[in-house]
Amino acid sequence: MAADHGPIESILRALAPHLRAELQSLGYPAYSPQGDDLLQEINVRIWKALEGRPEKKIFLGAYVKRVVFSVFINEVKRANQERSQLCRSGRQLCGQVEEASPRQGSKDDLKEIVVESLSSLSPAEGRVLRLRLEGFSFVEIAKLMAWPVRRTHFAYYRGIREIKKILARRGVYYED
Amino acid sequence: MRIDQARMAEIYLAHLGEKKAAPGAECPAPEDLVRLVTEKVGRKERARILGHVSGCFECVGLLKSVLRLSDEIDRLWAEGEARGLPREEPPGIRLRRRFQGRRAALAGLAGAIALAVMTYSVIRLADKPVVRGTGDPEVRLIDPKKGAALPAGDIEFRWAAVPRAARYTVELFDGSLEMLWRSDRLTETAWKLPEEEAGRVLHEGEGYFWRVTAVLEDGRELVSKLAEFSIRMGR
Repeated sequence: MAADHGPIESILRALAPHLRAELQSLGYPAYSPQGDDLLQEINVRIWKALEGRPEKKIFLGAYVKRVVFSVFINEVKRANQERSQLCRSGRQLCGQVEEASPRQGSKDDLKEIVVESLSSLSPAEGRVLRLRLEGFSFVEIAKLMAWPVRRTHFAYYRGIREIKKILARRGVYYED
Repeated sequence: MRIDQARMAEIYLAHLGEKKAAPGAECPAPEDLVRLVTEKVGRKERARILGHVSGCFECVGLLKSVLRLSDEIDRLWAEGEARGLPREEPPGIRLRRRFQGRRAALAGLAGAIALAVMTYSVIRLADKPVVRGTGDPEVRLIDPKKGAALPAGDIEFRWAAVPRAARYTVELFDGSLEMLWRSDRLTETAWKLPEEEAGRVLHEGEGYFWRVTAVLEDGRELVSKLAEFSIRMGR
């Protein structure tokens, strides 16, 4: 049995730093100073499941992924809860909408125009364009939309064409 | 004013950053974001989640992390498979393959049924006797032939015998198809117009029509086509 677990353990060991890095990039501290508790939890859950129900071995990859995400989600939720408590006590971590600051002239105007133009696009194209502006790749957007990459490209370029017209009507010229 | 994609992204992200707040009740649960990446999600739910994510700074970060982790697990697992882990397909593909298998089985079944129906139809067609024409015999006129010119006193009508015919009748018409003469019931296949009748109804140089009606044993009647003949001038 131990011999079977070898490759899975090595995968999980290789995965653990990524898991911790993702949590930290989201601003959630990984709780153990060594970060070993996450790996430990994943390990325990996988072995328990495997020993109880050997048929899970058939879809082991999918099962491991599910367990990893379950641990990840628990961690995110725990951190979110903590953050909400901090928000209730003081507002410094919440980054709530700032008090109305003095307007910065054309910069604020441009922001308003861009935001309004994006929201006036058709839903699917607006969604693709916003996700692209947020830094998602075409492949990632295609995966999220459950579309082929080609369709995602088309939707993006249609959105760009549309927003160019909308911006031009408001005196903003989009350069490719 | 001019703008490009990089500037637009900067402005939009700054806008999202400004409305950044602690994950609120309106944000989808982290489980939903994971499902969006790893499982099949319905179209409406997908649109709802992505509609929110594309305007929420917090969820964008979380979704990016989920995507990166999912890719990392897939990559590590692929490497593990190369080192001896059991090879497997993602659940979506397994499901699709199962349905494709069912679809192929259904298509095969439909094809087999169609083939059986076609074979049965061909066999039934082959079993049927070949019938040419109507199946009923026809009355074929022999003499006088169509367009023949005859002397008035020497007219004998002849026709081919019809199988199962009980009797025949000969009818004679003038040029305007008015009946001039009808014979008695005949059992032979020839009949000579009596000379005195010929002298009464037939006139030299005029055209006439004739036909034969055969009455079969079962009572049905078969009528021949009309045949035209004329009476020659001078006896």
